Amino acid sequence: MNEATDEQLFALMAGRGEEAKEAWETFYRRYINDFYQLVRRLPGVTPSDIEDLVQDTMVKAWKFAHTFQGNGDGDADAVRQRTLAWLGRIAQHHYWEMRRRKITLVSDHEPQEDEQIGSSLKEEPRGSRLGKLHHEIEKAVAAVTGIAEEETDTVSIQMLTLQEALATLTEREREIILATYEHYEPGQQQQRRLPPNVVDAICKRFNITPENLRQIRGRTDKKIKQYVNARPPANMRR
Amino acid sequence: MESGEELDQQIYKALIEMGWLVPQTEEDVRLAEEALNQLDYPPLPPALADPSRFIHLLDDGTEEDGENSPSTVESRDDGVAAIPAIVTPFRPAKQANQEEVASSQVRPYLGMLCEVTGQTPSLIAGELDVTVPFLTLVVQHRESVPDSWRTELVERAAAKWGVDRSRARRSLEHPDQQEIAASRRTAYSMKKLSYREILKRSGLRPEAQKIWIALAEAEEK
Repeated sequence: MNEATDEQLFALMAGRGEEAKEAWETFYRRYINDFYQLVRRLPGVTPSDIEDLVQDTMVKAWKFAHTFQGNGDGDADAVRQRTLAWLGRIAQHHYWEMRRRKITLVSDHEPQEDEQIGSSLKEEPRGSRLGKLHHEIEKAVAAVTGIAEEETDTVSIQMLTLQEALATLTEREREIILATYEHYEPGQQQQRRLPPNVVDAICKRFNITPENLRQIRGRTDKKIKQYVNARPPANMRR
Repeated sequence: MESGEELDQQIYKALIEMGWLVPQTEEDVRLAEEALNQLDYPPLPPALADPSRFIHLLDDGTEEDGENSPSTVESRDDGVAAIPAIVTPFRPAKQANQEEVASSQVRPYLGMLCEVTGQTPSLIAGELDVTVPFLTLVVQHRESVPDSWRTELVERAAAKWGVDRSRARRSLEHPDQQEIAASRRTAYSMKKLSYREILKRSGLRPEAQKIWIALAEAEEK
């Protein structure tokens, strides 16, 4: 069974025959670690939620096995990436459901400048909600900086700065950016205007009007641009 | 810094590299893994290491899940488009005996709650303030589980969704699908865990574990 291709495993699972569960176990062992690594850094949920997400996705892979279509004789990396992307699409809905339950926005009043956000958060007790948020931002910045420390050749300097900028967003800005990019399709043009049903869903999720959403998104874009334009990236600052 | 479409593409790429979005295309996976290669890989949590712990959930997950159905799951990539297929319903490898038939009429606790509430296992576990592995293990290793735990789970389900107490209790005492499978195939047999080992593998927070230990110890006295 270990020699079977992903397509063969999915075919066995979809058939629900005698070897179906053995095929699922083989598939599980083949992908569990790689898939966990891909989703373990998702924000806004606990490590235990991530474990649930991974487990639920692997169980749903069984349920949806009949929908998988491989790519024939592609190289091993391509096949692997295709399968992981397929798992990612299964996981996406569950992830957003988890986040939706957890979202409690910080406040409608938000400082306009990220320096203000940083200083106000730093003054919060570490155990408080805002203190935790500040801690989370610090961790994210450290993670991004870590990438810069280890290898700068393969990642553009601008990308590092952009990641730093994203790490400084407030909770609401971050949630709205993530909700927006949930619907983003790389390579497609004209995506700045979100479909009406998507706008409705985001507004409902955050209890805001479409106008609020437009303003917050515009403000967040501006904030990101200002950050990138004003700061050299971490590796250049050292 | 560029604006509009280009900025969107850059932000999307940055979010993928930071691990803040679930990778959904092959290119996403490639980008995310390139970024991961530059970080330390934490080990897989023990709770996820053994697929045999979840295999009984395969039989529970038969309800339709509209929003997460293959058509929406596949919408991002024509190359992995949903293909209609004739799915043969799962058939037991051998004819079930009378005892198996009788017991299989009672679904395991988590499966029963999925059926009653229409929610996913993780949502149910969250509502009950436990984890999915915990709910799975208390049925798989029910001989080691203190009765006070069953009572607590029965009461939580009754308080949350008005689940009938005797039905909930039967679902906790019922030989689950995995054991039925084990009677046919040796591959799914497993070592019995003590209630403390169940807690260790449950992924529950230490404070939550203390509550369950206190219940068990109260019963021992």
